[in-house]
Amino acid sequence: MSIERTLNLIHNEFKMLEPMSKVLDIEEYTEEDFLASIDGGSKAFKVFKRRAYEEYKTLKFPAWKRVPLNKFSLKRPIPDANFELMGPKIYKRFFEMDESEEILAHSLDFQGSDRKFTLLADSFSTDGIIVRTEKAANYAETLICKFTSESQLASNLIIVEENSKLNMVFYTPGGDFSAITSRFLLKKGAELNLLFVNLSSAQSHHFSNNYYVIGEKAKLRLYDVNLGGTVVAPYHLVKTVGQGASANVKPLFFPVGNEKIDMLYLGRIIAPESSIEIEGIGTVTDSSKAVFRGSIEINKNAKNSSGNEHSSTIILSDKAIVQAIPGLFVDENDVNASHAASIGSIENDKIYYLMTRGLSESEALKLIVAGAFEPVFQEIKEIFDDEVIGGVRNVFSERIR
Amino acid sequence: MALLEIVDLHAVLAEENIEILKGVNLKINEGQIHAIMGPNGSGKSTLANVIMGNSKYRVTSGDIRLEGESILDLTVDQRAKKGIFLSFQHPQEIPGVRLRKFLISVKQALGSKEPLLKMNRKIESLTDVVALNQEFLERYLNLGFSGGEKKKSEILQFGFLKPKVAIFDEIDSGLDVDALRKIAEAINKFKDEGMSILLITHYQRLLDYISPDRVHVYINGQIAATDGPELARKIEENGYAFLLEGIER
Ligand SMILES: Nc1ncnc2c1ncn2[C@@H]1O[C@H](COP(=O)(O)OP(=O)(O)OP(=O)(O)O)[C@@H](O)[C@H]1O
Ligand SMILES: [Mg+2]
Repeated sequence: MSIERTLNLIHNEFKMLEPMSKVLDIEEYTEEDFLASIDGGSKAFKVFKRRAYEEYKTLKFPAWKRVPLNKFSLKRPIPDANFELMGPKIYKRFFEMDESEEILAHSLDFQGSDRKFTLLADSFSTDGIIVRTEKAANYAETLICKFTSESQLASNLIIVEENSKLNMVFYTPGGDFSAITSRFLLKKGAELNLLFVNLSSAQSHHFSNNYYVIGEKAKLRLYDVNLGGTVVAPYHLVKTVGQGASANVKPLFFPVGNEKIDMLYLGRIIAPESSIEIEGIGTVTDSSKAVFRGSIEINKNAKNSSGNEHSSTIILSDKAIVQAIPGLFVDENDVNASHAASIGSIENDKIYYLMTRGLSESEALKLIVAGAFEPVFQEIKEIFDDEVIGGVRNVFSERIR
Repeated sequence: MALLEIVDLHAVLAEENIEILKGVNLKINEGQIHAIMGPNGSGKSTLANVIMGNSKYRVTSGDIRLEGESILDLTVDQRAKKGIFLSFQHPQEIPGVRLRKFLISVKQALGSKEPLLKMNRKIESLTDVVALNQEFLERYLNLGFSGGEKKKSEILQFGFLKPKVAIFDEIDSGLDVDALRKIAEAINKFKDEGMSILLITHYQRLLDYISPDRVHVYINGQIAATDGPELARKIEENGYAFLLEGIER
């Protein structure tokens, strides 16, 4: 079985060569580490991980260019997955995986920001969660998965059954390392509102790799809130496979100091009348750096579909860097597609206007930057638990300086 | 004593050293309304911005005094805190900041300890005064407001912040007749509470409702003539030509 790749290598009959990237030479985990990590798991769990590990062994860690990984090394002992779960009891542990779930997880295999990181979690994580809703169930309570330790390795599988509706939060309050690989299947008519909050910062490495398959008339709303770190690399590949499927992806980011964040949000539109919107909002300040890769692909035959990608970034310092790398690949004519990026500092006229009302320059700046994020925070607040988002607001506003 | 006094004020565009204010003199007493009229591009908005301290312009000589003290060294927000308010010809849009919340946080930044409930009541009653639907309080500041709604938002802010002196830069442009009357009433009311007002306008029609103590005609960076309200009527009928003749050499 082939995996879902990040780059579609064939476009309009031109075959692209996947670029060879530089690799890191660092000390690896061993066969014993692997064996320890599968200890106590179900048979299917062992099958899943063995397959991941066999491939993992053949690969090296990438060095990356835009956001270099030169400070990266593997942690010992191998991090566990430690989390608290709150909300409806529709989950089990990843190591309890059964055969059908193993087949499903396998069919949802994907490359991620780098296959090595996707497989790092799949090979060595001792745990994670498997969520499965009931058909046609509408859960009033939000399912919250809160990671509680400094470092995490985890794999997750989320299945939203036909016509069911779930709100879910993955919350990482802090920590110095994580590699988390998650697969999502939204069946016909399903609705998933999903919020990732990663408040780790400063000296930390985070690799979040996520793949979503969205069925007929199913709806995904995804909010991905990140700060920045030594390297923070969120990856979300969203694919509409059923007619009328839709996804709305709203990333927020705010690196400060020397923090870096390298994001990839990829919408792959396969089915007719389906739509994907990606709308990133962020701020960079001090000497921080943000790379925002937002990409939309529309396959042949995805008639009457629409794909829009947009990012806007406020730059608060001359030394901060933002690279918005949009991609738009359209193989079908009968579509509505657009992409755009806006990058800029705050207009002096706006600051002046607020100052004439009695706000100091820095108060005015804070108000404008907070205002850029506010509409999305408001949406998040309306959908999810109040408590999480209150904290996020504060963390963001403390970063404005 | 004059509340706001402008003495032989010269100012240039900070970046290009081009002189726009060429010796302005103006004196507004407490509770007075003054009107400034003048052709496009004569420097009326620039005067308002220089009084407010906009760093796009640099004062090269002269003085601006509030209650006898020079404010030239003060920043924009310090001037606002001292009680100067500018209602903009083109108000800015600020996404993500709700009008109601904005008013309250500004009032608090100005040092007010008034309880929230009271502030909210005040704000709501002001929406009636300026004929703005209360829904606008929950909208983002000026974002997507029509031209007239933006002007109403400016008056609302003015009424809530209660400055000592307010400059209205073309408050009447973009307002329909009913709104114009309503806003004129509001301005008269605030005047009676002791606020001083400088109206920059092109039209007599605003002055049908607000009767100014003095009318100034501003031409080419200077005040060319000052008189009572009848001056405004004369300009409406004859244009500025008769004044231009007087200053051309
Ligand atoms: N920031 C600026 N940059 C360049 N030119 C400027 C700037 N500000 C003012 N000016 C110029 O100075 C002159 C006066 O402009 P100002 O806006 O003060 O005129 P005004 O009297 O308010 O005109 P109007 O009645 O059209 O509003 C104009 O010629 C204008 O182009
Ligand atoms: Mg003007």
